[in-house]
Amino acid sequence: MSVVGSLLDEYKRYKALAEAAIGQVSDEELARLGPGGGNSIDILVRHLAGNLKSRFTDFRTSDGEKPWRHRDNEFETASLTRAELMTAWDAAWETVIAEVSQLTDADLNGTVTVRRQPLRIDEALHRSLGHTAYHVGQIVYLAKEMRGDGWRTLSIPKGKSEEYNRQATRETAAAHAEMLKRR
Amino acid sequence: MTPALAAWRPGAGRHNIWELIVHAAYWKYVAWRRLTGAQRGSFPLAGSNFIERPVAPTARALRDDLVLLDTMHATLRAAAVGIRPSDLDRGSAQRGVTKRALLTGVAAHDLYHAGQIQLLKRLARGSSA
Repeated sequence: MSVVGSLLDEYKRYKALAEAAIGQVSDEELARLGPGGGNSIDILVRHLAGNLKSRFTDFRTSDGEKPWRHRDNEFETASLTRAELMTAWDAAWETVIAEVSQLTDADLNGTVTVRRQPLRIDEALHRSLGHTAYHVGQIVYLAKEMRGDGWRTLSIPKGKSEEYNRQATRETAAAHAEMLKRR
Repeated sequence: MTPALAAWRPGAGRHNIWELIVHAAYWKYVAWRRLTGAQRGSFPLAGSNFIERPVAPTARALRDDLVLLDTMHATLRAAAVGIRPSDLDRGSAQRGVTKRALLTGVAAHDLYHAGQIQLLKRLARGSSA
């Protein structure tokens, strides 16, 4: 598997994890702020969508922090419907997947800029994947907190690790993402 | 990070920071094992995946688990550095997963739980506000 392929599969895994968590919470829970004014799930979704759309639009030819992005606004409460939120999310991910899919490993030593700072493409991709995984972890934790006992697990169920290890069926990132999408 | 903060849970049955620390250590161990083909059974703690913490809510116990995390990280990193670039796309001991994919996956897994640890710190502060 190529470097680009392994990164793309991980992007898809974390996209699927976030969507499987978002799908388990109500509209009210999506917008519910955490204790002490912490980020709600919809704020995290808008932040990730804004970040990814900005970074990957014209990925190789323009700065990753676009003039039309307003990062601070992503952390303010907004009265978006679930449909509006997911439209922004889907649009961002279409851009990510289209741009990353066009790359080959031969492109990875090239350079992009983010806030006018040059970054090797492989560094930019790893940084972006790390940022995505970081916030998806928060989305999943918040959603699980809200669902409580009704939570449908996204990985190995509690107490089932040994059983899973004997017959592992979703070891690759791609297989894990597919499993999450089929739920 | 105090032991009390590391052990704080937002609700019954939810993972605390301490458990996420040990979980990250465990999966670094698993990734190392899959990378090197080492046999199972050498993780220093009993159990797998999410291991209940704390056993004792002391600074010493927390420090021991942080040392475990550092040790597993260093062990995995040393194994990763030792792989020839031409071997990265060869299979690992995890069926169907190349060494490259394994390393990409475990790195992202770390960040996934790092985000949760930061979230838990904020939730804990908010709950006592």
